[in-house]
Order: sequence, then structure tokens, then C-alpha cells
Amino acid sequence: MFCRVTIKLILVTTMLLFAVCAAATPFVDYEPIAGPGSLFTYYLTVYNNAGTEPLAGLIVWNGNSAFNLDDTSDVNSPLNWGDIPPFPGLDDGLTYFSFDTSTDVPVDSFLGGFSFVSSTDPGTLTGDDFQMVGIGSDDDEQIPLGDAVLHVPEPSALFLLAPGLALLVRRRR
Amino acid sequence: VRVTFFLGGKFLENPPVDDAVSSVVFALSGQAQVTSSTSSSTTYTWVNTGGSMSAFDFRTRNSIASVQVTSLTAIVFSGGDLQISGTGLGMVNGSAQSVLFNFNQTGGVTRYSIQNMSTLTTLAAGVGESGRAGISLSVNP
Repeated sequence: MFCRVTIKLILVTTMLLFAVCAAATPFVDYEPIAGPGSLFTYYLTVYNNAGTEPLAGLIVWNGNSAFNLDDTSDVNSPLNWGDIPPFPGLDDGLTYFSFDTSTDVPVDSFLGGFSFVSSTDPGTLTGDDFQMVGIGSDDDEQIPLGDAVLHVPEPSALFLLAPGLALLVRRRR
Repeated sequence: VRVTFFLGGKFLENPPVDDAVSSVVFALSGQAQVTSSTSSSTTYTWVNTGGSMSAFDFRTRNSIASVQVTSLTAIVFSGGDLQISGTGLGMVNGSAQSVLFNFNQTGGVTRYSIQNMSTLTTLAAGVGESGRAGISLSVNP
């Protein structure tokens, strides 16, 4: 019985791993955390999976209209990156930029450390609210990254969880 | 008169040939004098300046921040076009530099350029991307 459950768990975990690896295009994931107060902090990580060039910039396309961001908002960037907040009425986007090519996001790499505080409840996000655009390092042009995806636990974490879950199942029986 | 000026958004180097991106935010509000007025245009010169300007050009990797405007002139044309030019002192890639800047709107198209005042090297420049950049100037007595 134990072996059967373990094999099933390994199969499920492997399928999840393949599902995650299948996202072989650049994308951004986000993890919303409640706070401070009634606000929400959104943590972003950009994955330059199978990208055609390093990424030198990142734009939260609907920064003002979807997240109410402006020049008073609390916005944080990774080391050696900066940001220009949305300008309501003129520019809707929150733009992050890398000061130097050495801090760009290389192909098949990822970079976290982007965050902003917003009054928007993540549960109310719809459609293309969380549309993201990258800036390529080679041609300095925009690269559509689609909608940011909600953060899921890493495959390695699932692998670590699997034996524990298997033990739990075994003990219950 | 009190004149308020905003420019901001995402700009492209030379569309559609070269769509290299730059971002700019510039806001300024202050007292200005009418220094010239004709049937086709009115020129305003700021008598007290301040404001703030930030820009980043992905092609040049120049970051222009904390610009304190030291002079500014705006020409408002009767057809709605704008020509704004001035000087300022700001941080360019972390070092203090004097800059020249020009912003204009002609036929609904917004353009800007920021140059090093000593060398006239272009630090950042672009043409406003449709729907993502703009310029506005309002005058109140």
C-alpha cells in the first residue's frame, strides 16, 4: 500500500514539474501578501525562460488603472534597478529598469525583488489587469509577457513535501 | 499667471524604425510671465522654478533624476501645439550635471530630448507612444 501511494505521489509530482517546466516562455509570477493595513503587497519575479535576449526592463502595464499606483506609492526594485511610477492621465505603466547590462535578467534565469503596495485586492483582478511587458536588452524594445501568473510552490518544495505526505498517509492507515 | 506643466509616459526612439523605449515623468507648477504674444503664439517664461523630472533611456542606459529646473520657457501655439525648453540641474547616472531639455507637441505627437548642457550629448530622447505618453500645460490667472 505504501509503495502504491508513494508511486502515485511521485507521478503527480512529476506531472506538476513538467507542467511548470512547460512554461518555456518569459513570464512574471506574483505573490500577493495582505498588508500593510488594508493594503496588499505584490511581490514579482520575472522568469526569462527561453527568452530571445536578456531583459533590461519590466512594465506593470496597468499600474495606475488596475493597482492605483502613482508617484506616492511604495515601490521597490532589485539591487541596481530603478523605477518610474505611473503618471495618471499620461502613462498607466509602472516601469522598472536595470541601470546596467550586468544586472539584466539573462536568458533562462530569473530575478525577484520587484514589489509594490496597492489598495487593489488580488481577488478582484480580472482579465488583463495584470498585463506585463518586458524590455529587451539587445534591441531595447518591448516584449509582451502576458498576464502575471499567481505564484505556485516550486517543484523542489513539492519534492520535499512528497515524502512527508506519503508518511502521513501511511500513518493514517 | 500660474502655469502648470506635465509631461510623462513611454517614448520610442524613432518609430516605427527603432522602437527602443524610454520613460519620462516631468511635473512643474509655478508663476510665469507672458514675455511675448502674437496672434499665432504666446510665450511664457517661468519666474520661479522647481518641479521634478525623472527619465530613463533603455538605449543609452542613462538615468536622469531629481532634476531641479533653473529656467523654462513655453510657447503655446494657437493651433494647440506646444514648444517647451529649459535648463536644470540633476543627477545623471548618479553624478550632478546641468541639462538642457526640449519637449514639444506637434500635430498630436509628443517628443522630448534631454541633453548634457556642456557637451550637448543626448542623454535621453524619444517620440511618445500612442496612448502611453502625453503633455499638458494649463494657465490660470
